[in-house]
Formats: sequence, C-alpha cells, structure tokens
Amino acid sequence: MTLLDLARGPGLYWSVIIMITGLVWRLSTVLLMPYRRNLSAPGARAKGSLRGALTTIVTRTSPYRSFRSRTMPALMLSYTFHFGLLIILLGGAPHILLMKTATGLGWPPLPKGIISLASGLTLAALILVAIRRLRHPVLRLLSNLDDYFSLGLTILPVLSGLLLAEETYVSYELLLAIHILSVEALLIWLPFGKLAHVVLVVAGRAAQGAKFGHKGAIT
Amino acid sequence: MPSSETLGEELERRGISRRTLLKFATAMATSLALPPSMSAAIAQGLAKTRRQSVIWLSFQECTGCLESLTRSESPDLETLIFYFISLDYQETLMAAAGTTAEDALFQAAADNKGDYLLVIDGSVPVADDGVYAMTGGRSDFDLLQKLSRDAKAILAIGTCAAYGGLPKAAPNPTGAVGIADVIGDKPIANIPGCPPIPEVLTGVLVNFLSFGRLPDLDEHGRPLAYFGTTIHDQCYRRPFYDQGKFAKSFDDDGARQGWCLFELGCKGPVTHNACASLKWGGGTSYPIQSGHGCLGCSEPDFWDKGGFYTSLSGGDAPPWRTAAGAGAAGLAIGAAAAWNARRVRSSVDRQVAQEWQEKKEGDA
Amino acid sequence: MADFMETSPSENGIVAALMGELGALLEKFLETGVRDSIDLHRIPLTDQDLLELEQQLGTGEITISFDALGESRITETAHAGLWRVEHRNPSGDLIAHLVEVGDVPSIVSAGRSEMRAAAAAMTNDHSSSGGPANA
Repeated sequence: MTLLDLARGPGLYWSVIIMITGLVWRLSTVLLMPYRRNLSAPGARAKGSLRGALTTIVTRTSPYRSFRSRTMPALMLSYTFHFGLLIILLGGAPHILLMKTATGLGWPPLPKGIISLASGLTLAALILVAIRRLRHPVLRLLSNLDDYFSLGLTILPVLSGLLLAEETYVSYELLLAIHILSVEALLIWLPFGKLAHVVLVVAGRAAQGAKFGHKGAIT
Repeated sequence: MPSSETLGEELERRGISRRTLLKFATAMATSLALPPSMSAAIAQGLAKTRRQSVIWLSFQECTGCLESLTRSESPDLETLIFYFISLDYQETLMAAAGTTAEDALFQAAADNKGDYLLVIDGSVPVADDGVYAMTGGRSDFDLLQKLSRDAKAILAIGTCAAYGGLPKAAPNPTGAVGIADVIGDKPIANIPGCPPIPEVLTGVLVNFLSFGRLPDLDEHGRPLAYFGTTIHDQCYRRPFYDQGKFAKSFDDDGARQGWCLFELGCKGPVTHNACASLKWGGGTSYPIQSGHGCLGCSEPDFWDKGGFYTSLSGGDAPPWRTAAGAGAAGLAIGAAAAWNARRVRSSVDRQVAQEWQEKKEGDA
Repeated sequence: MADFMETSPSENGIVAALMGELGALLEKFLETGVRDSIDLHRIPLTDQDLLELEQQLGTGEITISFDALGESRITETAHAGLWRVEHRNPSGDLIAHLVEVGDVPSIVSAGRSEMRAAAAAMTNDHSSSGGPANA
C-alpha cells in the first residue's frame, strides 16, 4: 500500500471517525458536566445571563475599544489566516470535490488564482503568528506543546497544498499524499487541543457572557 | 537451432537490403524516442547481433498483452518474427500443441542456454503450491523457476506479470504475485499496462536486440523511455486542468468541450505511461482523448486503489451510519465522563455537608 | 476540406520554429558535412501545423520511392538540401516521418561494402572468361 493509498483509504476513514468521536465527546462534556448554579442576586443593571451569552458571542469578534490599538496587529494576522483558510476550504475546487464525494453537496469553485493568493497570504500570516509566538516574552512563557503543535499542524496542509497546486519540487503523488496525510493529522488532533475552539468558541463566549450578563458587566 | 551467422549476414542472405534495415532502424529510433541520428547505431547493432531466441510463457493472463503486441505498427510482429527474433515458444501463436509443444520449449531452452530472452505475461500464483495455474501437469511457479535459470533476461509484460495485476486484486485467492516477486537473480524489465501499448512492447524488444541489454529502468523496473513521465505531464487536456475547467459528469457540456476529467476519477497525475504521447492504435487516441479518465493501469495494485470514478481528491470516507456511530461513541464517552464528574461532585458535596453538620454539632 | 493555398498560419508558431531549426541544420551541414534530421513524430503537431509545414517546405524536383518491407518515399522540398522522408510498413501505416538535411538523404547512398562486393564481382566477371562469378 503506497502512502497515497494510505491517505485516501484507511487514513481518511479513521481520521474522520476519530475527529467526530472527539468533537462530540468534548461538546457533550461541555453540555453535561455539572456546574454550580449561580445563587447570587443579579447586578444592578444586569440584562440577564441569556442576553449576556448571546451578546458576547457576537461582541467578542472584535476587541474592546481600549485594547484595539494594542492588539490590532495580532488581530489582523489572525483574521487573515482564518478567512484565508475559509476561502481555501470552501472555494478550492479539489476541496469542494471532496465534499461532493462525501456528502453529494457541491458548489461552484473560486478561480485558481484567487485560491493561490489566499493560500500565500494565509501561509505568510501563519508563519508570522509562529514567529510572534516564539519571540514575544510573555507568549513564550505561556506557550506549551499544544500551541506549537496546533500551529504546525495548521501550517503543514497550507504549505503542502500550495506546493501541490504548483506541482513543483516533488512528484505529484508524494505531494498529494503528504497534503492529505497532513490534513488527516490535523483532523485527529483537532478535538483534543486548542484547535477544538472550532466548535467550542461559541460555548466559551456564551459561558463568559452568561456570567457577566448576570453581574451586569457586559461590554 | 542457434544460428552462427549474424542478423546482418542472414538478412543479406535472404535478400533483405541494407536499406531495409536502415529504414527499420529509423522507425525504431522514432519509437524509442531516440534522436534520428541514432538510427545508424541501431542498424549497426542489429546487423552485428544474432537472431534472438525468445521464449514466451503465459501464466495467469487474459492474453490481452499478446493481442496488444499483434497490433504493433512499428515494427509489426510479422517483421519481428520473420527477420529479427526466433519466437521459439508461444502457446497462442505456435502451430504445435501438446507434448510436441512442451518438447519444443525445453529443446529451445537447452539449445539457447544462457542466451534466450524469457518473455512472460500473466501473474504467477503461489498459494497452495501453485496449483491454480498449471501447464502440462507442471505448476507455472515451477516452470518459471526452471526456465528463468538459463535465460539471459526476463521481460515481464503487462501489469499482471509486472506486479500481480488483476489476479492479485483483493482478496487475491490464488496468491498471485508479479514475476519479480519470485525471481531475484536475473535482470528483469517490467512493461506494465493493462495491456501495455503495442509499440512499447516491440520497442523494448528492439532495444534489447540493438543494444544487447535491457533499457534503463525506474524504481519499479519500468523502462524510463516510456514510463518516465506521468500521463498528466503529457496530456493535451492539461491546460483545462490548470484553468480549473473540469467535466462534472460524462457527456456534459464540459466533457463535450474536452475539459479535464480529474473530477471523473482520472488517475493521470499519478500514472506513469506513454499513452498521452505515443497513444494507441498507431497514435490514434488514448482513453482521455476518448472521454474516459485514466485508470492508472500501469501502476502496481491499481485495481485496489478505490473506485475508478473516485477522484484523487476523494477517498474512503466513512459512510453516514458509521459516522453516526462515531458520534454516538463520542456521546457515550462524554456522558460517562460527565456522569463520573457528577458522582464525584455529589460525594464531595455530601462530605462538605457532613463536615458542616459535624461543625455545627461541635459548636452547639 | 480547406483550400490548400488558403490555410491560415496556426497560432502556436511551431512551424516557424521548425523552419528555423532546419535552417540551422542546413548551415551546420555546410560547415561540417554532417547530415541530420528532425523527427516529426516526436513533435506535437496538429493536423493544421502539418499542413502548414508541408506548404512552407514545398516540393522540389526529385521524388525517390522504394519498397523495403513497405513503401518508402523521399520528396525533395523547395529548399535545396531539405528532404521529406516517409517510411511505411507493409500494411501502409506511416512508421517514420522526418525532414532530412543534407546533400542527399543518407538512406539513398549505396553502402561502401556493397559497392566493394559489386566491384569484386564485376572484376571477377571480367577476368574469368564468362564462367560463374565468385562472390
């Protein structure tokens, strides 16, 4: 069995299964874990925890105004690669083809030039994020294996995908195998590290928002 | 009977002119993708060599490879058999049958000991002592061992002989393997394809005749001259691939305009063969030109690489039922973890309540 | 069927490139005496390209045809020193298609060893008075 056969066969099968199991596991624990009811009285101008939860999900998209200038560079980098990944995944023809093969759902792709541009920007942003994390003294103190591993696993598919689209340096077959395997590694790791924020970000913001909404401290 | 005269002498004796040989060599240079100036060297090589004894063994095959060989236009099989090789054994083409044929086989091997070219099509089954392919009471496995011993070189023709091919496809009940999996001590060239292109077959034969050795091979034992590039790299539909113009289903608008067949399962990017350049039918067409994606038939185990119509971007994703099962498993684990946490929390609460109670009673 | 004289030049410029290369080979022959050729089967030519190439090459005075396990035909082009060579197999399939550059196509010249054999045979014929010739 060649590397590509592994990637397109058992690799794809098991990575998807592990990802689904892991994500459902984490989501269900978030919903089912015991929590202490907040028995304190609501704050003076509190609008309630439900409103707080819903508002915070949206408002956390952009930092509080007094932090904006300080966090803007990091924020720009982050949004660049997040939107870049979205464009690549939803607009790239081979990815749409994968979705179509798996679910029957297809849609028209974006031109290859736009995907290339998005990939380049995404890769640059991710690399800058990595450099920042390695040089910033506080971030260096805080960062653990999860941070670096998750970053690496995100960079590898983008880089291998770019090389594959340009069909350069290495044979198509090897590049395709590496690209698919790197995505599968990402899928397997996804539920268990910080990358799980893809599904947990909403829950996290909602929990914070509920707490502050009860206190009347929504910003 | 091994001949003592060279091919050049024999051809002259039979009235085949030097010009005829030169013309043949010119066509060969084209077929071998060598520069036209090489034709003189090919002609010289051929003239100096002796009539090459060729023994052709057929194992687990469908005879498609021989059929392909008979379609070669340059050189055609008749010219090869009449003038350049001595096809001493070939079960489909030879007139003899039964024990006469068997005798011819072993006689030819003995007469040309160390000099004959052993050409094999079909895989060889090794399960159950090789009982699944027998010829004249002997297993093909034994026949292979016996006849490869004194061969000068071996040509494994077709994907079955090269890598196991169709008989080897899962679950491989007969234990089929390629020739190179059995024989390790002879030079072997694999000429895969299901079947191989006719001119590739004859081209390798003539290469052997002209230069006395097998051509340069890649890591899968295939002649680099024909298998050095992928279909994708030579395909005339490549501009459409680069522009993102793909046919979505057979005979749709894109297909009619000759767009790339990647989404219909074409394995061109990972398949090495000469189909896109040499083509079939003497350069008439090849599968992609006729509207069907490449099957990857010159690659090992191509029958077991997922569906022919699943694109390289697709694969064996789990079916919905299995995915739902995975979700259920995740839910079960999560619920178990939550249940355990609640149980621990309850016992902590109970303990705290008890301590509080004891403290109250203690104060009272 | 397009009118032969009105074929428009194809957009890929391959025929112009081929004519350029043939011109260079012709110069090389004039300098060094080495005959060379271009194999048309090895070059991706569309039918239109082929038509255009034939137009540009044109036809000269000499046509040579011979049977050597199938018909072969050599046509002098309108350019001195350029020859179109077509080899066919006994079934009539085109098995080689070249443009050769030189004073005369290499396959046409008689071989020296054959000429020596013929000369020896003719001398023997002369010397022995009408008896059977020794090869």
